[in-house]
This record gives sequence, structure tokens and C-alpha cells, in this order.
Amino acid sequence: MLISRRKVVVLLASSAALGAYNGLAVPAFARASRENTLRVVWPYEIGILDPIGVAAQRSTWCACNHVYDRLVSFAAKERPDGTRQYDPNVVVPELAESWEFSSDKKTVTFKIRSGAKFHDGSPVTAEDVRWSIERLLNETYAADVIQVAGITTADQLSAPDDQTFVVKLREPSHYSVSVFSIPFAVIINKKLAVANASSQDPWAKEWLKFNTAGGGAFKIESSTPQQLVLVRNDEWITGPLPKMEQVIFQTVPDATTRTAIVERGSADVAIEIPPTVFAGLKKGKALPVAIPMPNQIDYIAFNSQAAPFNDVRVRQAIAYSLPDEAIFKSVFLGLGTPLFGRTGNVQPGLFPQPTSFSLNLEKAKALMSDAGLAGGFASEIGYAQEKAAISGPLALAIKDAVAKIGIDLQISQLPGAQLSERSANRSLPMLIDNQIAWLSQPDYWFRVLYTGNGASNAGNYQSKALESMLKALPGDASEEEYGKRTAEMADLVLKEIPLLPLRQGAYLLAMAKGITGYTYWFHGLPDARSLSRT
Amino acid sequence: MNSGISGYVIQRLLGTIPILIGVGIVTFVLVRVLPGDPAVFYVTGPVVTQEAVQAVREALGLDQPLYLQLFHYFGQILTGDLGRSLTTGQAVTVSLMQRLPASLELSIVAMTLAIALSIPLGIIAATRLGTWSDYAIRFAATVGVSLPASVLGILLILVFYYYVGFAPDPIGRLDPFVATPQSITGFLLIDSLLAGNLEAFRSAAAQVALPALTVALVVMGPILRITRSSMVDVLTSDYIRTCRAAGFNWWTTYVRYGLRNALLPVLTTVGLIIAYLIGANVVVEKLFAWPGVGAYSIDALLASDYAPVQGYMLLMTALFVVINTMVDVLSALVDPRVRAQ
Repeated sequence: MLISRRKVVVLLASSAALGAYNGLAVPAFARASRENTLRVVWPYEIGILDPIGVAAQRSTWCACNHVYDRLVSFAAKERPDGTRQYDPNVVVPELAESWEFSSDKKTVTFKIRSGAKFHDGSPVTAEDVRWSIERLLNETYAADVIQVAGITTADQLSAPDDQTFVVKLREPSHYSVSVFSIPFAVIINKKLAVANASSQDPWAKEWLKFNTAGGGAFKIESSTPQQLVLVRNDEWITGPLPKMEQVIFQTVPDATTRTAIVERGSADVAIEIPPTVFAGLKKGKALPVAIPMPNQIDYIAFNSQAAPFNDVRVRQAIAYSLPDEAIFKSVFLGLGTPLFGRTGNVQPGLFPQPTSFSLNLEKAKALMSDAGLAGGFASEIGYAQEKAAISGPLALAIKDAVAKIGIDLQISQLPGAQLSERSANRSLPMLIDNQIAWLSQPDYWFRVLYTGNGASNAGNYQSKALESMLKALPGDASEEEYGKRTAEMADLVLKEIPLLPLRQGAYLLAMAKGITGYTYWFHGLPDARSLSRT
Repeated sequence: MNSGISGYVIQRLLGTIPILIGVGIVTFVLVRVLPGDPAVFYVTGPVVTQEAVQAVREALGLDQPLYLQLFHYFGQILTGDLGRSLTTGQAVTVSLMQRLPASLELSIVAMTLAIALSIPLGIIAATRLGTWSDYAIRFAATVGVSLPASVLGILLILVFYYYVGFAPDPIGRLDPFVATPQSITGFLLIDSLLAGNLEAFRSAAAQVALPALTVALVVMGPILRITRSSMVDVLTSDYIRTCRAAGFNWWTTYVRYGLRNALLPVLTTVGLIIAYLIGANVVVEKLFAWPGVGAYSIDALLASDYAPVQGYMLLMTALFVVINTMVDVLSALVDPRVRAQ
């Protein structure tokens, strides 16, 4: 092979350029020393980076919350221990500077923050917003969430100019703004994404799995299944500039190892701490932090369409047979808020809230014999292996309790995919699980957890009464009317208990000393934007 | 003799092909027969409707008949593509190639450690049959075998990391603040030396120490016991008596003539343990956040993530054959009788 002199010069020049590039790339990582780096350890592996791709998971959403902006977010309240908790009732601007409703409440006009830029330097326009939301509507399961706001088709969205994004609704909805806070509703750099799309893949799904096109507070420095490194985007203007220059999320599957690393001072935050490990945290070395989760619920779900649990008396008998307080103390270690033993009426405008059930074996036995099942029966209760730390002991406690009213429960610990399959085909009579709601308004809970044909309706609840109440609920109801109507719904589902609520959980974490600003968000994921170290 | 061995190796490797095809088909069918529906599991987000499940099923190609899926899969394999993991989103081939060196590195370091400790101890126990040192060594081996890796690992982390602070953070293969050397072999201990990056070598060596020690302590037991019993047999043989009578020194008697003849069953055991270790180190991999193939395949199996499970089975089958072949060749080198066959 012959190489001309010119080629050699070009080769040398380009390799020199490459060297210079490498020289720049290395300090970017080295620059962020241990002092301005935050280390979070969690059990998740880093998968794809597209929040609405098939198999998007918790790590995906966490990465995207940092890399992308959404139109709006929620306010957060300071708590006595220095952590913060989001407020589901107060929506605040993020990428949208402000918004206005038309007089009939059917049109929402968002003003996009001027001067906001994507990571590649191009300005964020209303067309990027419109395209991003249309992209979301194209994925069935993402569209299923955004439709609570009454947004179902792309023709409801428009971008009349660069700073204005308009949503037209068929009916008023009180989710018409807050729905744009969910992890699905990221604002993507349309030009960059489209440049990497193809005719078979017009929404750049393949490319966005491993690349990002955002304008958020952080950029991805590197991403492997075990380690995600984010660096601060110094140009970010959507919120106050984060204090930490670099954040490392590391996969540590074992909870004991996770907490040990924080106690030794190597990592700053460890999440997904089971109660037993949490209880063993030594106060001196790391702070055990428990933040109440206003949008979470631990429950037992019954298959309310199949015998014997299609009889409401059987479900209530089980509710009366459980030693609620003992379970709260021994299984949940007293963390969170108990959801049983309410004495008065339901509280308006609140869900989840306690049921009126509490331990009463006489009532339980009477209900069983009313249902013609005084002799008892055999059944099965299942839970996900991934949640065994709490669900395992809970299942044992339930088995013991219902044995006293003649029910013989078989406990099935199932791997995630098996549990999903069995709850989807309704072959599990009883199920222990928990849920968080992204949009924690009472009627959202009823729509997602208590209606529909899918697995998210865990109790397989088919109630014409609830459906007509939901249909009759006006989207622009006053606070008082909304409270009154949702209280009726809450009363119904807490009496009929297709899901028997047990507890509202607490978010448990181990935090190194000097870390402030940890915020519990509705998605339950750590957000480095508000974290700092003193 | 050399051509005999290489002919044998080629023959063994060719024999792998039908095994791989068989394992491929069986695994393919098995993962689909097992309970667990990926279409439901991978519907993302809070609202799960039947329509969404159907859409995901179609996107994953799981709505096609099984034979078509199988046909498609084997077509892919021929191009070196093992499909894509749903949980990690990565190509299975890439993931396995990144994770296999991690598992191999851990297993090899652990095995070296285990052999370096257990063979000398086995010899000592055999030469001092029935004395207190024999009993002490056998007792230690039994304790190592009886303690599960999970407990042993936590104990080691507790002592060496948590209290003494001697070991680095038990996360992964390298300190995140140390620049990763360019991947050449995938073995960090080797790559860092090739790159002349001593900091990375120190970090990688420190990271592998505790998990390797955990594994070594667990597998030491069987090797030690095999070495001891095999040595005991050899030491009662005529030729060792002759050695002793001829007044040969300790080294010639016990190591040159004794150990070499006792090594055959030890080699077979070591080969089996290595092959087993690479895939079955799940507990240690989880505990030390070690990015190996064992944890990867178990996670995939629990999540009904078909492609990684299938890819893992194929890889393990191939590895088993390769390691067994290596053991056979080594046996031939050690023992002329095996060579003759």
C-alpha cells in the first residue's frame, strides 16, 4: 500500500487532534473530585435511557429526570429533619414559565421559558414540546397515563409560535397541567432525535435507547449497566443550578452492602433499604431517614370477581381477622402510617386513607358463616420475590391470622415476571403488593387501581357505581365538591375492599452526614438537583 | 504425541456443535414453557391494560408461532447475534463479552488462591496422618465448606471493610475515581498492566481480593480433601516406600514422585469447580456488586428475559466443553497412562 506524504500529514494531524480530544475528555472526569461528587448506591441496573421505551425502568426514569426537563413539577416542603417532601397539590413551573386556562377551562396555554437550551446549544421551542408529547401518545402504555387528563390524540396539541404550547381538551380536567410532570413527559430535542430517526422508526426509539437529547440539569458522562455518571449542565436555567458537579449512581444489589458503604462514608445516599436493615443502622455513622410517602399504599388485593372473594363478606372477614396493630409494629416496624381502625367518616379529598376495620374475630367468624363458609376454605396468597423483605413476613402474619377463621392459605413467592403473568390472568386469589401514584389525587387512584381490565386493577374490581361516579365527576369541580364526591367513592372502595389497605409507607434511606436537601418525589427516585453537601 | 493431542482437541471441539444446537433448542423451548409472561412484565408504567400488553407482545415478536421464533433465533445466532436483553436494553453478545471476563477473573484469582492454600495443606495433612495438624486442617476445610458464601462474604466485609477499613468499597471491579484502562483482554488485572496504569492495577487487585477470598475459602474444602486422600493413597504405594528406603529427600519423595501421581483426581476436581464457579457465583457477585455472568443470568431468568438466558446457556455449554478439554489435555501431560489412551 502506498501512502502519499499528504496522507501522512493528515493522519498525523488527525491523531494529534484525537490526542487533544482525549486530553480534554479525561480531566472532565478527573475534574470532579470526591468533594464535588455525589455517590448514590441503589439496587437497580442501568438499562435503556428512553423513559417511554419498552422495559424502561426505575433507573431509566431517574436518569431521564436529570437529563431531561418536563414542563412542570411539584412544590416541595421542608421537613424537620432537613429532608423535603413533594406536595401533590401544588404544581410549579419547570420548563414552562407559566400557563393560563381559557374561561371554559378547555384550553391550556403554556409559555415556554425563554433562553432555555438543549445540551447541544439549540433553543427549546414549543415545537419540541409538541413533538415530545405526540411521541408519548404513540406508545400505548404511556398514552394510558396521559389520558387521565383527557389528552388522547395529537390534534389536541399545537405550537402556534416558538414560546407557546397549547393543549385543547374535550372536557375540563384537573390533571391538564400536573400530567406534564410525569417521567414519561420529557421534553426531547426534536431536531436531534429526528436526525437520528428512520422511516421504520420515525420516533427515534432505537437511537434514544442509548443516546439522550435533553436539556436537563445534568448530562450523561458515561453509562454502563452498573454505573451511571452524570455531570452538571452549567447552562441550565430551568431551576436553581445544582450544587453537585458530578453524580455517580452505582448498582449494589445487596442492601447490607449498600448501607455499609454509606456508614463507611464512601457513598452519600443508599436507597431501597428494607425495614430490618434500616432498624440496624447505627445512628452515629449514617443517618437513617424515613420520609412519609403521601402517594403510596401497601395492600392485600383480592380477586373480587371469583369465588370465594367475590363475596364482600369474605373479604371483610379477612379484614376483621388481621391483628392490624401487631402487623404494623412487627412487619412494618412501625414505619409509615397505619391504614386501619378509622372511627369516624371518611375524610373528604384524601386517598389513601384508613379503613374502619380492625381486629375483631367474632365479627370475622360471623361474616364467614353468613357467607356460608363457616367451615373455612383453602386459598393462595402471592407476592413478588423482589419485594420479599416486607411481603414475606407479612404473608406469614396473614396466614397465621386467617387460620383462626378456618382459611388455609398457601404462600407463593413468585419472580416478577411470573407474578405479573398470574395477576394479569387473574389466577391469584390474593396478592400482597404496593403501589405509588404519580398523580396522587383521589380520583386518579380510583381510575388506575379500581377500574379497567388490566393488571393495574389489582383487585379486579368491576363496580358500575364507581364507574358512574367517576364519569359524573366534573373536571372543573370546586375543591369542596371534588372532596365530597371523592369521599363517596372512597367510602365505597373502603367498604367493599377489593384492595385491603394496610399501611401508607415511609421512604427509607441511609444518608451520609452533611447531605441536605434530599427530596421525596412522587416517583420515589433520588433527584440530585436539590442535593448538596455541607 | 503432539499431533495426537491436537487431533483430540479438534475432535472434542467439533463435538461441541451438536451439543450447542441441542442446548440451544432445549433452552429456547424451556424458557418459553416456564411460567412468566414478559409482555405483561415489560409493560412500563402505572396503568396496565390488556391493549398495552398486546402492543408489547407484538413489539417483542412474541405473538408469532414458536417455530417461527426459533427459526428466526437460529438465523440470528449464525450472524453472531444473540438477541437483545429487555432489562438492560443491551445486545446479549456485548453484555456476555463484558461480563465473562469479570467472572473469569474472579474465578481464576479465587482458584489460584484456593489451590495455593489447599494443595500444600493437603500434603501436610497426608504426611502427618492422624496427628493434630491433620485434624486441624480437615476441621478448617469442613468449616469452609459448611459456611455458605453469603455468610462468609458478609463476615469478610464486616471485618475487613466495615471495622478495619483495610479493604476498598465492596462495589464492582474498580474504584470509580480511577480511570479505566482500555479494554484489551477484558481482564482488568492484565489490561491495567498492559496500559502501564499501576493505579488501576492496585485498585483492581484490591477490589478482587475480598470476593476472591470468599470464593477461595468455600472451594478450598473439596480440593484440600481430594489432595489429602489422593496423597494418602500414593504415599502407601510401593514406589514411595522405595523412595524413602533409597533415602531421597522430602521434596523428591513427596512432591516429585508423590504429588505428581496424586494430582490427577485433583485436576479433575479443579476443572469441574472452575467451570461451575464461572456461572454459579451468583451470591458472591450480588454481595460484592461484581458484574459477572452469574448474577446477569439469574436476573434475566427471574424477569423472563429470554435472550440473555439463552445466550448464557450457550456460552456456559461452550465453556464447559473447553474447560473439560483443557483438563483432559493437562491430565495427559501429567499422567502418561492417560496419554496412551
